[in-house]
Amino acid sequence: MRTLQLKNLKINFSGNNSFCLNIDDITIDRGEFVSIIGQNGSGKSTLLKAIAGLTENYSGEIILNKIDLKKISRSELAKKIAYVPQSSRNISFFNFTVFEYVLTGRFPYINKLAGYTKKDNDIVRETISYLNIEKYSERKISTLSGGELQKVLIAAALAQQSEVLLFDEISAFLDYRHKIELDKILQKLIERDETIISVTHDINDTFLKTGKILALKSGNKIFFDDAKFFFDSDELKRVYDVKFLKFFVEEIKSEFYLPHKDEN
Amino acid sequence: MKIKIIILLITTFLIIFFAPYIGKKEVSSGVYKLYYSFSEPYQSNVIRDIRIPQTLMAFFVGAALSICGLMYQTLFHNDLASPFTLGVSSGAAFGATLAIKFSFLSFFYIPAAPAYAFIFGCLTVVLLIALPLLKKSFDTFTLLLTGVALNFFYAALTLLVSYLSNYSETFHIHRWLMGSIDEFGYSNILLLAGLSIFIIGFIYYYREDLNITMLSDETAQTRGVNIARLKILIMLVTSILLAFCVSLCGPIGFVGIICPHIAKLIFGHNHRITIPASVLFGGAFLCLCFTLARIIIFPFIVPVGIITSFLGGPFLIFLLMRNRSNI
Repeated sequence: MRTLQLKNLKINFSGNNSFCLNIDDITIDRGEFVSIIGQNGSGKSTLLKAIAGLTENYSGEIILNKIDLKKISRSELAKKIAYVPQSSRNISFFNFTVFEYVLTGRFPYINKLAGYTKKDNDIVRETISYLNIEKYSERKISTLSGGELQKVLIAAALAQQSEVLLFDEISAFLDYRHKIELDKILQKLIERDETIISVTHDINDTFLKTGKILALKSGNKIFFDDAKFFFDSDELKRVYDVKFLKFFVEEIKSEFYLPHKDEN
Repeated sequence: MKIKIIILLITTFLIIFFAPYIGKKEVSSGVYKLYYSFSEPYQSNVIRDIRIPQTLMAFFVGAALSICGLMYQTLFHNDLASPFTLGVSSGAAFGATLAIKFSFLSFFYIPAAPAYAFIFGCLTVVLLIALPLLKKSFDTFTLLLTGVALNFFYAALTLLVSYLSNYSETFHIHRWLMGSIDEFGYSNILLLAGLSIFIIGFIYYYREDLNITMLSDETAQTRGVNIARLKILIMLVTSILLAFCVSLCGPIGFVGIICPHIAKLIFGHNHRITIPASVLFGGAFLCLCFTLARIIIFPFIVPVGIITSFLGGPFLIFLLMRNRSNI
C-alpha cells in the first residue's frame, strides 16, 4: 500500500510571506489519479514542485510510505517521485537523442564508477516500445514536435520506475490527435495502477472526471474528493469565479462544461 | 568515434614528444638520440632543463584551463563561459600585482608573485562559494553576475596598483598579466600534474551528473542530481586548479573557451568523451601555441597568452557565426 500524505503543508511563494499555499491534510492512495485544478497563481504547480522536491522552502511534511521526503537524498527521492514538465517549457536539450534522454531516467540507479549498464539500456528500450515511440528513438530531441516531445518526457519519467508520477499540464498546447494519443498512454498507466498527480486547466479532461479532484484557490484547498461530487455540487463556479454551461453528449454519454462569457 | 579518439591521443603524444626539439639552433638533429642520455651537456641541458619542463607545463596548464572552461560552460548553460568568467583569475592577478608592486619577499620559500596570486585566487573562490550560500541560491545568474562584479572589482584594484607603480614595476605587472610559460623546475610540474590528474578524475566521476545538468537544473534535480552540491564541488575543485595555473603562468586567455568547444564540435556533448577530449585538446593546443611563441620572433619568446588570444579571437567569431544549436 503506497500512500502519499501531505500534512500541514505550508509553502511560501516567491520568498514573500504575503502569499502562502496551505494544505492541512491530504492522503492519496496507490493507483489514484488526482487532478489538481485552480486559477492561475492558485498554487497548483507550486504544490507539484514541492512534492517533486524542486523547492525545499516549505514547512510541514510530505510523506510517502511513512518516509518523510525531505529527509532522503535526491537520488532516493528520484526513485520514488518522477516529474514530467510541460513540453512547451523552455528546456535546452543540446544534442541528446531520444534514447539518451530517456536513459537519464535511469540516473538514480547507476553506480557512478560504472555508468549506465545493459540493464538500464534494456529498461529504456522497453519503455520506448511501451509508449510506441521507437520510430524516433534515434532522432535528436531538438527536432521533435511538441506532441512527440511530450511522450519522450513521459518515457524518461517512466524509466525512473518511481512510485508516484507528477504531470505538470502535460496536455496543454497539444493538438487533438496528440491529445488522444496521450490519453491512451494515460489509460495504460492507470490500468497498471500507477499513482498519478496531474495539474490541468482542461476541465473536460477524460481522467479528471473519473479520478479525484484537488481544487485550489488562492493557495487554499477548497475541494478534495471524487470528481463526481465535484460536478454534482456547484464547486466549478467557486473554483474559477466563472459560470459554466453544462452539455450532455448523448453519443458518448458524457458531460462537458463551457465557461459562460456573459453571466459573471 | 574510437578512431577519432586514437588520432587525438597519438597527435597529442607526438606534439608533447617533439615540441621540445622545435626552435632555436642549439639543438641539432643528433640530439634525438640523446633524449634520455644527456651526454652532450649544453644542448641536452637546454632540452632537459628548459624545453621539456616548459612543454609539460604548457600541456598541463592547457589541459587544466580547458577542463575548467568545459565545466563552467556546462554548469552555467553558457557557451561563452570561460575559466575567467568567475573572477578567480582576476583575483590571482591582483595578488600577483600586489606582490610585484610591494616587492614582497618569498612566501615560505615560494616566489612571491605566484604565492600571492594563489592566495588571492583561493580567497576569491571562498567569496564565490560564500556569497550564494548567504543568499541561499545557486542559480546561474547569481553566480555569473557575482563573477562579473568580482572581475570588475579586481580589475579596478589591479589598475590602481599599477597606476601607483613606477616604470619597472608596471612593466613587470604588465608582463605578468600577459600570461606566459617561464622556466619551471620539475617540482612545480609534478605538483600541477598531480593536482590536475586528481581533479580531472574527480570531475570524470561526476560525468553523468554533468550530462543531465546540461538539460536544465529542474530536470537534473528530478532525476536525482543534487545540483547545488554538484555546483559547489565542481566550482571548488576547478577554481583551485585554476588559481594554481594562473599563479604559475598568469592569465592565459582563450584556451579555456575554445578547446572545450573544439572537443564538443568533434565528439558531441557526452561528458564521458568531452572531459578527456577537452583535456587532450587543451594540452596539445597550448603546447603548439607555446612552440609557436618560441619560434615566431626569434630569439625572443612571445608571451603565450598573446598567441592563444590571437588564434582564439577569430575562432570565437567563427563559432558565433555558426548556428548556436550546432555547437
